[in-house]
Amino acid sequence: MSNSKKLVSEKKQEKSRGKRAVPRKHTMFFDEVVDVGGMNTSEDRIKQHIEHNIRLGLPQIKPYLLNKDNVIIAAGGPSLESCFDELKEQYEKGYKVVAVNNTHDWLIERGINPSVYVMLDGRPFNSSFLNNPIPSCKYFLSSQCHPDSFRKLAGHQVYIFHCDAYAVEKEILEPFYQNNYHIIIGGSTVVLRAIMLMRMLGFQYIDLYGFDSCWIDDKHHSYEQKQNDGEKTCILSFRDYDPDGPTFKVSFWMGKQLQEFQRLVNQVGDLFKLNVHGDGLVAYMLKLGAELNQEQMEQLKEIDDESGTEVKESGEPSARNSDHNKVPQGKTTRKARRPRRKALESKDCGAGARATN
Amino acid sequence: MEQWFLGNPRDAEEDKYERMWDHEAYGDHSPGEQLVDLFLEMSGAKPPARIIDIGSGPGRASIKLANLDFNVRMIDFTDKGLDKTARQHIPFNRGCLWEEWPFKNPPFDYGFCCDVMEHIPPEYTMLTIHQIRKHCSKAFFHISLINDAFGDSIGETLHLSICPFEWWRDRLNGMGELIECRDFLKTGIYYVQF
Repeated sequence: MSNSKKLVSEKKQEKSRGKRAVPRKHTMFFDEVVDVGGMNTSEDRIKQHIEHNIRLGLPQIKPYLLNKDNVIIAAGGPSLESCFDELKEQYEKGYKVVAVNNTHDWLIERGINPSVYVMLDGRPFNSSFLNNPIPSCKYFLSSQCHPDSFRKLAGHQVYIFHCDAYAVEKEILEPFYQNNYHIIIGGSTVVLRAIMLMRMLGFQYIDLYGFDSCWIDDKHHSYEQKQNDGEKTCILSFRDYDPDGPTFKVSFWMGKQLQEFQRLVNQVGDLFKLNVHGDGLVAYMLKLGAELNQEQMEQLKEIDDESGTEVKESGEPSARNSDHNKVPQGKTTRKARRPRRKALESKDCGAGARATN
Repeated sequence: MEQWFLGNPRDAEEDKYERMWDHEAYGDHSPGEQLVDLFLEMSGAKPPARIIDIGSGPGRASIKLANLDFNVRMIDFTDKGLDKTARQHIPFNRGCLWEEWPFKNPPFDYGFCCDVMEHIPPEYTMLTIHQIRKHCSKAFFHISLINDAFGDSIGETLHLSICPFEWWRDRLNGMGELIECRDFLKTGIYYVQF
């Protein structure tokens, strides 16, 4: 081709092209829900994980039309064990089960094969939850997960999704996918993201088991999870709502999850119908229509700075790094808005969340 | 043998696209041109590499590649939708993509195949990839994963092979070595070495 004359297509010669405005994504909603939470993995590490994982050639999770099926999300809280019979009954009726973190193996050992597994956490020890993958399960891993988690699932049905804990992720995802990707909003824990993931897949009727956000009988999970042993805790009570009511022992991340769940229900509660099973704090607060007050938030903050341990890659506990549970740089903690009371009240029907026990 | 029972699928497809290209709007929607930059980024192709634009349509991607000093050829069922500039300046071969291509030269350095595979009847998709494999050292594919509405205007279905991202990924990896792929939700991008 001669350099002196470039070819111009007939179409271009006929029409002049204007620049088409690209609509900006509405980010206010994401900030409202997400900025309460923090990250337990550094920004650099997250970037490395994303850069690696998006190049694995995995399909992204895509939106589907609404359906009327029932789905169970099995979180690992202590009430999972006490409500197991109820869960199994629903499973046998045809409810699809979504496992998160360590509930995968726990459920399979008890005769329940999850249809879906969701992982959000970027820490390396999470790959230990995937020692026994099964062919019938679809594995949904966040692009920020440790590459070991993906390696363990080679040959299985794996799908990738993306979160937005750090704005830098968009700098990686936008050019790679040329803007053809979705961010799954939610909070800083896997259950909150799993709720939004399932909704994107069209599931609006969701039963939550083991979603406690508290310790029960000195247990933080229904199974052994050394990473959470020795966490600092505080005691929360809700005498304003229930003068003779129980108190709850809570770790910092549990309180954070609770607050994020409240926000999620306030913002998008009309998108789904949630049933929260068990005797945990989430179910209790839903029954009361309660919310965390400033004093309780201060109590939780006091147990944040020095609490808990983080497992090193070698599997041995080490001091938690300073990034843990911190609000990402550049974001400010917002004062919690007064939630719409309607979304938090127990309901027999209609959208929103309710407690079932 | 008297063939009264079925027409040749190739003839039916050629006829369909002859009619489809009568609709001017169809020529406006050709993503190949917009994907040239991504192809160059993924492949690292440098001029004067030989590139075959597979299912070239209006040929606007070929024009862009030719302007970048690549050595470009086009192949398609029909030249009906061909842009006038492409028709005048870039060699075109008429042919059925799943039958023997009319080239005797050594393989092209790159195949550029955008918005094509989903149009191929399912039973001929692997035969098409086989032809691409014979004639190209490497190939860039952009494949739609969803249905298309243009065919409604002529009462036809255009996207005959709608398959998930991972289905194409696994099959292309079986026919060659998949170097990179990306799921763009409604379309898939695949870069393969043969």
